[in-house]
Amino acid sequence: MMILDSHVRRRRNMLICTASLMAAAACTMKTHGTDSAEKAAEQSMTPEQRAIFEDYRMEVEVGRNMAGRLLGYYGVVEDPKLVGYVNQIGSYVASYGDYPERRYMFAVLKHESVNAFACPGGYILVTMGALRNANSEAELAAVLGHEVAHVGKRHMYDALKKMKQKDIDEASAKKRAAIDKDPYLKMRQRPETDSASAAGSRLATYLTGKAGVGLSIMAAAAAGMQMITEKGLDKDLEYEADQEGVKYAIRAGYEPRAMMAFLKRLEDHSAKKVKNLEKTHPPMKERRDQLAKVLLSLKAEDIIGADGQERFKKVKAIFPVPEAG
Amino acid sequence: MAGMLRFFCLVVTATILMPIGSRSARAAHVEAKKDGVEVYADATNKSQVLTTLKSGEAVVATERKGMFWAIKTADGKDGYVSVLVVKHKPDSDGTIANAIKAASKEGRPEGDGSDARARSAVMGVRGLAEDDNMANASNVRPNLRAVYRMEDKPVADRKIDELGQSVLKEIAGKASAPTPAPGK
Repeated sequence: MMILDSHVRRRRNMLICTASLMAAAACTMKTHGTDSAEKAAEQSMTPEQRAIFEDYRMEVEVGRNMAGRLLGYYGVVEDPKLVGYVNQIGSYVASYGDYPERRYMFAVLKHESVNAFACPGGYILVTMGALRNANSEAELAAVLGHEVAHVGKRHMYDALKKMKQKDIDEASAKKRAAIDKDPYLKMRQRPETDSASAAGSRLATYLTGKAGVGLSIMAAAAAGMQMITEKGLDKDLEYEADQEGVKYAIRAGYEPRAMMAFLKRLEDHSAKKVKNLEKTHPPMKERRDQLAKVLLSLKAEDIIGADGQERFKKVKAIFPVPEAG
Repeated sequence: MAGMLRFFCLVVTATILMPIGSRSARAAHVEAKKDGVEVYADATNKSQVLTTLKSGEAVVATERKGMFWAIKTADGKDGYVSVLVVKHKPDSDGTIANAIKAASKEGRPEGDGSDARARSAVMGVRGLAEDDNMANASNVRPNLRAVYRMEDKPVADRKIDELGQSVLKEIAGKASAPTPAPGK
């Protein structure tokens, strides 16, 4: 369990490094304009500061790219009230997490599957299906807490950094073979040199100073997706996200058993979804067993939590009508 | 091209700087809502009272235990306070981006990271479930406009505080409601 005072102490230890880094960036923005700001800020960094800066910048870029693909694939719900509500709940729960100083941004995907995604950099996407599966604000808070934990603990980003180039190449080759076999996928395959790739390339070139890196991103993207849909993250990380997410929601004042209820409802109403879920996640029963242990340790039976039913009902009333099919 | 680079520079810099703006850490401290808030030795109001807090006095909150926060007082005492008599207090140290903190973690792979960025373009996605055709997302053009909309709409602190007050109000209402008889 993360103890918050040690968490605070570690943050404090980073203060000098961070403050000087950010001050340098902010000052150069004002005095030299944006084109020269980056160079001037970088020149003022120590090697350690530069490494820190680059890593976070990379995480943001990765998350932006991933979130963009998911938003492009599923479509995005535009209703400002609904999206604002999800952002409010997510940000509120995140503020009780172990990493509240990070930024978390939430969007709703226009899809009826029950799903949620946590991209590095704080981009969190939840489907309409997941919102519909929730029966209260407390359940939504627990689901968003799960994703906040993935982001805060950098589960995905760290896993990516541990991948070997060989894995990427193998997965990429497998993906290409699958596309070649499937006329539908082949038809939908996006040429690597189209405008989206060009935009990615420009961004990557800016960020790395290496021309052509953007195209590598696009090629590796397909390989990465192939791998993630087959392998999934370490199951211990999923357990950890479940447990941490529930803790964050409880700290925020929500009903402790909300996540259990959400998972149970998903299991009861959608055997197919559970089957898909269990390809990359621990079995549902094991997840609930693990959660039960956490709830016991937190004396959850004694907790009076909010369920936010009234607010949730109002928002549910503005849910878009499900699309046919 | 220069304009595009400037735009990306702004977006990246703003994204990095935003977490150190007005939004601040909230998890680390709670403060007493009134004078005489009792700090208990255990997570029950039947246990020994170790000390009391004055109105506005802040303590470090480490975790929830039932209807109590496990806390550490300024003079180092560990104890518990009821969640109903304290409120969350923004952390004065909460202006530091966690990602930067995480950069100092040990045991990270060496290298310039460029390959990590490439392979992570879509790899970091994890969620609750996967649909059968999700792999197709790798062939979809990124909707960066939608991403930028996410970045451009931070939730105001006021909205978060309002929600926190509503949640506490609901809890207080439930806590003061008569306990139903067993079996009902």
